[in-house]
Amino acid sequence: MKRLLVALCAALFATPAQAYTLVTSVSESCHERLTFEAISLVLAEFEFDPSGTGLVVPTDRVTRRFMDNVRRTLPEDTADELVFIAMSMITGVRAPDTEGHSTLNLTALRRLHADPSPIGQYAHALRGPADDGLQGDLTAIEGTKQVIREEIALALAAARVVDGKIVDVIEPRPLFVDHYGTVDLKVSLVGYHLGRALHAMQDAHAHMVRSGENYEHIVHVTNYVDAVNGHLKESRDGLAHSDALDDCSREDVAPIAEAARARSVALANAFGSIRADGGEALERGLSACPDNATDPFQCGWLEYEPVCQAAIEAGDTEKQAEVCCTAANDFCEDTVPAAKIAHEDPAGPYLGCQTTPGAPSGANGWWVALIGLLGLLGRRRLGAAVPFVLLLVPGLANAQATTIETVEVKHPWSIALEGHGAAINDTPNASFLDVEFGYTLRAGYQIDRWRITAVVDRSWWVPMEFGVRVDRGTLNLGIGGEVHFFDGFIRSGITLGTASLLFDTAFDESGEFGYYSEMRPAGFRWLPIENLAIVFDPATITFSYPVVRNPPLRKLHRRASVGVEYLF
Amino acid sequence: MTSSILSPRWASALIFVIGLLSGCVAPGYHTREIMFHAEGAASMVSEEAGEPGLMRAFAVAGRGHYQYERWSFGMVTELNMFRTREIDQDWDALAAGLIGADASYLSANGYIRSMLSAGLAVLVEGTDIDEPGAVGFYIESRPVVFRFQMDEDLILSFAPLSGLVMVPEPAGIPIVDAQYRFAVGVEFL
Repeated sequence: MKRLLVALCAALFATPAQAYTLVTSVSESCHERLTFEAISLVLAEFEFDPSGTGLVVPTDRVTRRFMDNVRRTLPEDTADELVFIAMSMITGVRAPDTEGHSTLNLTALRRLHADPSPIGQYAHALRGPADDGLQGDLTAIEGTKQVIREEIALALAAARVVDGKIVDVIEPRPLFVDHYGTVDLKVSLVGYHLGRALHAMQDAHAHMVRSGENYEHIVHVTNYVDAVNGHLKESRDGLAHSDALDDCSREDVAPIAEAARARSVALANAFGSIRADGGEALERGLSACPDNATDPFQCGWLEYEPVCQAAIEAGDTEKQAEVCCTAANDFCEDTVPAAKIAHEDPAGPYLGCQTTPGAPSGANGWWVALIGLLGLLGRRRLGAAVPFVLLLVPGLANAQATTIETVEVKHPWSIALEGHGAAINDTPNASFLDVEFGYTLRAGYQIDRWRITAVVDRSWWVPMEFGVRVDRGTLNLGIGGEVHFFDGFIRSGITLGTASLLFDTAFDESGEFGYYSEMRPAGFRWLPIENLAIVFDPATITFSYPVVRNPPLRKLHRRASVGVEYLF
Repeated sequence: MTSSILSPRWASALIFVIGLLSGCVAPGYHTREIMFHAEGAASMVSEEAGEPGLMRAFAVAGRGHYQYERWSFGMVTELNMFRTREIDQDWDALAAGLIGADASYLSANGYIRSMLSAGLAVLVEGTDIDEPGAVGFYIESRPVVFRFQMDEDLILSFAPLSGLVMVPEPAGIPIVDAQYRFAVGVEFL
């Protein structure tokens, strides 16, 4: 049973980094990378017999498709059960940071990371808002241990043993997938909760400053919630969360990441043996190492520096000043290498604005952001020109517009090439940015003020969840109509047609076929020479729906487009 | 001119002035020197799974304008009620008051107005982790507002699609809300 449990546990961590790239565009993620490295070690030691479990892997299309993506980076003969648990682990290890939302969903981030409740911070091995001074270090460490215990308990509760077999509870959990948004994915709750526990363990190396040959002693716990709210006082609240210490790709952080990986393996093994040893290995890991400990990674996972801890518990402030890492000695910046890194890239308010507890927040900061916005626009030629062009175009167009209708009668045929782009998304449950760009070819025939059009529209999509890349998007074909008014100066139009998916997504393959619609409430036209018009549509609504089955793939974009139209 | 005068900022200003001058050529608009607007706006969400056609935001606003030729400048106050998603997918209701200045431009013989507006956004009603009273900022662009004269002193206006970005809580991880919305209103001349 122990081998089975450990092997099952091992599977939970079988999450090759490339799998995330395939599934959710993750290219660089410390949590996934550390998890993958940890499981590689565990898998090499144990074998897994899927017939020993009562796990029934879901057979629906979405689960299978997602599993296929994970399977590509596992050995060919990997059992379905292992692949499924690995997939569940992916969902779990990412969950504490996003809870299934986009990392560019500011509303969700605000909820998750600026959450003043201490438990929300302990899930990331950080101080709670009230965890001040040296005592705050100890409180945060105990809180983090509690989070790990609770997640392990939830994993255990899901892994019931029935007739000698493990019967895992399978439930949907949200995962943000590029282009689809938040998708409810069926997961093994064992894998899911162990992923969450492992997340806390790894954050205990990224957010806690450690010393010692194996980074076995915590000397300081960093602070995010006070830092991001802009009222962090180091002597009271500790060091701000460091993006540098969080970056496992840095050469000087690599040894710390290695320690995190070793303790991830130890946590996996401890879970595997939990039914056999009654949780002894887990408690050993969460307790201080005894003097005769031989493996530094099997114990003391979250052990505070013992001499300092003794001074804190004794209330000996003189000793604390001598042996502990505090603001007075720059948190041991000169003696602890990790502390030096932790001083780099501190977290702070996103817009440079502070909150003042007990007073209306942001009162002193709004203008900073406004000036920043204006400055940003001012530094970019195009950005600065946009609002003025917006006003300028109607003026120029109107000065020329009276001739357009006459020209259209003379030259009823037209062909137009337009470039378009969209960026900001107002869907509340999605990324704030949803970038697309492309071009549209539009051929038309004019009768009086009405025009019939044939449209070929090409749209590339830019997923931004983890890094930026360009996906091939869709090819949209449609038939539409336009009406021109105000002497041809303004046009409104609608197009209906088909959308074809041109690339493989997490759940669907290229070639999927759905609907496309476009509505242009009002666009401007300007005729600088007789049969050439410049067209500008400041706000066009397009709805591209290339995959209509569940989960649907549909994109609502608000484009701006500009182009030229040749009349003949 | 020196090269420094041709910086992007100056070039934009130059374009702006040219636009202003080019615009002051066609009188005959549906305008008076002083105008007051009352309007309502709504933002629809249609791509959220399972909840098509959901109204996510609703706003009422009042505007006062001074008109000079094609250009008008004024003040706007707006109460914007909007909803965001909680982590557990429930809806959270918020409200912000917008107080700002706007500039608009008439074209197509006064049938079309293009407008930019910017100013302060005050959080009136927040979530349980927000403090009402936070002050941020907003910017809104209405590229096209159709205007139809109903009476000598009354114009019906319709903006089919405008874009609003407001940051009523700029501190910490800010509250940023983008709304694509349509607006209908009346203008009293």
